[in-house]
Amino acid sequence: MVIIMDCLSRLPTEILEQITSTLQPDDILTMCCVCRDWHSRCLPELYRNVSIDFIGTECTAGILAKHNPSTLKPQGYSTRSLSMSSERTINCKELETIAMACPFITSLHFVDEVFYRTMLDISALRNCGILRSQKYSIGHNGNAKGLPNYSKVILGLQFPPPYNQPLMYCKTAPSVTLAFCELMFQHHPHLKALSMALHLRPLKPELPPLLRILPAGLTDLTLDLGDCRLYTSFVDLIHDSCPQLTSLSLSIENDGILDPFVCSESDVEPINRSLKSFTLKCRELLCLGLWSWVYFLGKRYGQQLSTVHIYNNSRLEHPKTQTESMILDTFIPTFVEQHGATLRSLKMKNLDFSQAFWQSMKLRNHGIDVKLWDVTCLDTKTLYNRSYKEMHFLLDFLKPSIRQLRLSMAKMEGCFDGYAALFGQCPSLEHLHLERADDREVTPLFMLLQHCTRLRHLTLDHCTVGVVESQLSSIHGLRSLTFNRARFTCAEMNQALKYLPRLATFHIGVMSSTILHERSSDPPNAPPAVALTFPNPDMSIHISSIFMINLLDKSYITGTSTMVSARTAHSCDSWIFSRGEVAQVTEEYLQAGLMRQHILAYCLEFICDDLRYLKFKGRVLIKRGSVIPRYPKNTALDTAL
Amino acid sequence: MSVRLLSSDSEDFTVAKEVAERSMLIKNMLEDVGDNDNPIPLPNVTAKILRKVIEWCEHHLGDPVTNDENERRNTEIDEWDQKFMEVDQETLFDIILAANYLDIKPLLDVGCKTVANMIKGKTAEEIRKIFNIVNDLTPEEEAQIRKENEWAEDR
Repeated sequence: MVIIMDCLSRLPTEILEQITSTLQPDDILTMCCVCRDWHSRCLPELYRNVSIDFIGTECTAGILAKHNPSTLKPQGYSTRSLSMSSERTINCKELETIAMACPFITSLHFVDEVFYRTMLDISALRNCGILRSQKYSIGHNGNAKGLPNYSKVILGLQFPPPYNQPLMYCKTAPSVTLAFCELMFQHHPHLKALSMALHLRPLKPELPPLLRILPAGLTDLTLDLGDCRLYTSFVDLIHDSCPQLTSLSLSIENDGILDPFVCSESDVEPINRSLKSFTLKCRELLCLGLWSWVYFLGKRYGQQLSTVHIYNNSRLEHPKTQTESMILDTFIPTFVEQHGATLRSLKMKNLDFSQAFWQSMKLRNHGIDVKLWDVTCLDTKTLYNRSYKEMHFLLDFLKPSIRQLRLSMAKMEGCFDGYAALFGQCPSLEHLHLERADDREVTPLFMLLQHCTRLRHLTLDHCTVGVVESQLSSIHGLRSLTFNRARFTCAEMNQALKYLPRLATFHIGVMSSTILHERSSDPPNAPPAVALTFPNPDMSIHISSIFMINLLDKSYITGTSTMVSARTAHSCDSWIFSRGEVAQVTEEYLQAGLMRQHILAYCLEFICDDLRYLKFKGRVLIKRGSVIPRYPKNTALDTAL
Repeated sequence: MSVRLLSSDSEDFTVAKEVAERSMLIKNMLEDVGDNDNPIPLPNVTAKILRKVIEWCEHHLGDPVTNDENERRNTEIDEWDQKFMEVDQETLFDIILAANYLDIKPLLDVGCKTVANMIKGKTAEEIRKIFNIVNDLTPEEEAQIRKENEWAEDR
């Protein structure tokens, strides 16, 4: 018998793995349904990366423990990465089942709710009197591999009486957390990547003991430490426990503390030669805190450190700092001297003195090729917005190497032409994400594209999108276009889409965007006619939300759409949303009693011959070219109106 | 400085050393062997595919070499590569296998992304058509597979 192998079946598993690594689970599931051979080859790929959030309400442990029909091993044998951040209760038994079904996990993500719930589960056992009767084994007894048993070990810890006290209020809860983490690490001995969040106050362990028990084989560590105080010496502890660590990401509530010995000149701490990527996210801080981390990076790490991301997510303005000269004279130069020439990815959010930083970078790299290809410079506080001069300086420095750039821009000085030309000077720029200072400012889309011929992904935040046809002479190869809080008219957008035949993704992002009236003479209360025509049938379209109307601002916005509608080229099918879908309508709007009928018929359709994918407010409406039959079909639009 | 490569069907190629060194396999071999006029035999690559691979390496000669997985994965397939990959499927998969064997990671990336793009968002029937596959699953079996792995559906 001659077996004809299709092309995919000729590929070794590691290549198949690389192919599926860029696909979503639903695509891999479709691959499993192609034929018998693909089923047996792709099923393990489907279970390689498992997120319990994705699995949702079903029994995760059960799914992972179920046997693969061809290997007769649990599906979890193929699992390498498991994410447990679900809201759902996971009990001890499930955790133990997961540990047995997935012995080869190398990457684990969980938040403390997971062990919080596990402990509730154990508390329940305790309250049943199990502890007193010393019958620990009631939780789970089928432990063939001799794995330590959560309920047994945790109950075996010495707890003060009374036994019936709920565990989470117990003073010893932090030590339980510690014991839980240790068990977790024993259950998954091959861990290379670990991500965990510790938020729940009563359960929060002391940091140093936790850092000391981290698995020695870790290469990637992400810790969300909530409001723990983080000293730089704790980072040294982490490196002691995990000598092979290459990537470290820390989130903290307030800025960390620079241990005084780091500053002393006689510091003889060895330089770390393994860490390549460092991320720090901070929710509230004093300005000095973050720059002292920058200083720490300069002091502690060798030049293999290629990625540095530092985010200040505080909503407050920076406090006036007393130590400005220290930052300018010591902290910035120390970092730049060590890493300025070798950094490849640098992201900074809301760090002041950025001008001084970039000037220092330029000085350092005089006559040397810059390696930075991925840069984010965000300032959500208008105070520090980048001036044209500063942007010019930054782009002039980055232009030979930059491929991905995210920038917040200052209020416009002069016309946009100058800005577009600046971006045009970056020959390798592929991803551009611009945050404008004011959504009234027009960003001429075609002018930008005309200058940036290699641009493939464009995101515009907080601006009015302008389309002037004469500004683009030929079609552009843009692949994805995203708007967040952007304002545009449909007529202009349709004009733009004609010139973007390669566009594969059109995304109206998480922050709502506004569709404007085409002419200011249009009656302000009526929604603008909305119809978008997409030229590329293979496109996927995501719409998270479209803002409706802003009555307070009539002078400028003459009316925005409550109804996004259009017809498909072939039929008049329409999908009507229930009332619940329009929860976003503002109070003023309802009081004004405007267009109520349009709210009821909050419709969404697009003209496109054969639309492949449409996601609206988190729900998939069209998938693989066919409508998901979740909504009443063919309900006539007119009746609703 | 040039290097001689011998394809599986015994065709002799002479290429610049820098071009050949895009292949980690060849680079390591050259380091082991030192300067030597003998052709390097590549028993897993036919002349047709080797010609394509050399063409790719020559075009991408100036590209910076990066070992950062994240950096490579984030890179779009550029227009030239898209054109380059517009070949029949047999050739496409042969190029992927050759890139794997010769250890040319960026070419392997481009190949894998090309295949992933052929699959992304398609129905099972469309995939069968694209890859010329006969469906040997009954509708019941297909429904069963979907049901068993329902969690993976996009919702």
